[in-house]
Amino acid sequence: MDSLTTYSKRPPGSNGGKNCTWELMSRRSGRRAGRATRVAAGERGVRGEPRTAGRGQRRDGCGRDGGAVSAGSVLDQSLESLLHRLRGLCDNMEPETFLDHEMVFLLKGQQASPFVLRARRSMDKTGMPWHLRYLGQPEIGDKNRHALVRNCVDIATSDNLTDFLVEMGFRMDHEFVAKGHVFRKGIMKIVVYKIFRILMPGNTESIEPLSLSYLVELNVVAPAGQDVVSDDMRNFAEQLKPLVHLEKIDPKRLM
Amino acid sequence: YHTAWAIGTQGQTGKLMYVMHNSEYPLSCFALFENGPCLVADANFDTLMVKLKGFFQNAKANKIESRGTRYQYCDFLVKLGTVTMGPSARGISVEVEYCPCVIANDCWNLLMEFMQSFMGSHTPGIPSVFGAKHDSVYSPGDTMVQYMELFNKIRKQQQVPVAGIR
Repeated sequence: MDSLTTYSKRPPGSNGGKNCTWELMSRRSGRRAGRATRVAAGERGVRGEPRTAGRGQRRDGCGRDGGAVSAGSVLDQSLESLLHRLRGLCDNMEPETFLDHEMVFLLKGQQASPFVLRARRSMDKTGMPWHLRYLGQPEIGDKNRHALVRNCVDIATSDNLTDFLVEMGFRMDHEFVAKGHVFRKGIMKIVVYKIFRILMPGNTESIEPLSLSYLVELNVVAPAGQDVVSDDMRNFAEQLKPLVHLEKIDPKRLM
Repeated sequence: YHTAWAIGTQGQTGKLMYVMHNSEYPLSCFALFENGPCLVADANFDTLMVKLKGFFQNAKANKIESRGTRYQYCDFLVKLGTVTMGPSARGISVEVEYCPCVIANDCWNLLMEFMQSFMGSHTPGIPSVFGAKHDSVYSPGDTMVQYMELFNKIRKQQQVPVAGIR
């Protein structure tokens, strides 16, 4: 059964760079993605090359950490100027693009709210492990804090992740494809990407853009308890105005 | 010195999921279902299991561990361990690995000959995972499946120490 829930959008500003926030709701997909059961592990665990694409993946893996995130968006026509600015501001590195397929799984239990896990795989880079992510509830802290902070657990896994999650009792809630660029500045990671809706469940070839914008996310993953990062994020966000306004995501507005 | 240990947890479906660790792969964690898929993940998978506490409960026969010494003899790796469940010792495990070969069926005969040289009549038969594998590459997940089968066998037995060999 397919049901696409609502989409709400604030009208864009007069110049291309003004912030227009998209609220992405879930699209229910009846079919689960199947994957061949092939276990792959090296002597050092499922690590291989550190994956720098995708959300919040750290090079050396992390346990329970706090992920701080603030986001904004730019319309397609402003993308180039934003990328140009980011290339200047961020660490000197090879421009990195990514094409990821993400599936969101839910486990319904006696508790009112289901347990959410996000499984992500790289579609363009071969040999990369799958990435499993858990995001906790946003920390209720200082209202002046400029970013949303949540507990996060990131785990690299072998290819049979989806089969395994289904075996555990999880069911896929929705999936999408994300395509974009990654930049890094110190411990901050800036991701500019476009979300694509998958037209047929499980088939990542037929996709269409969800909007005319690119989502811009500023992510920092730090060991639990460190709050210093929020200021760095705010300073960086200042430097990106007026191209894009990065703000704290209000989780209530996503419901 | 090596360790391999397993904790069983039961989900809503009633299926038992084993979370295993092996000191040979210190950065990994193996999660497997009996006759089901075996997931190889980073060591912080345990943290996720803690978060999932509300959905999975620890099965009765909690943690079982094999701990002992690791010997390297030319291309062979032999690990002798004492299998303990809580405070009590339940058996002895012997793990033999022939390092250069990754196709299981190709080196089974060699392994068997090597094991016969020091185990004599206790040499086991061909493990079930080899049967399923045919000519495909052997992986650490298969080792963990074998350990899981061994641990289950030992769990089911009485308190008398028995030698379990793989």
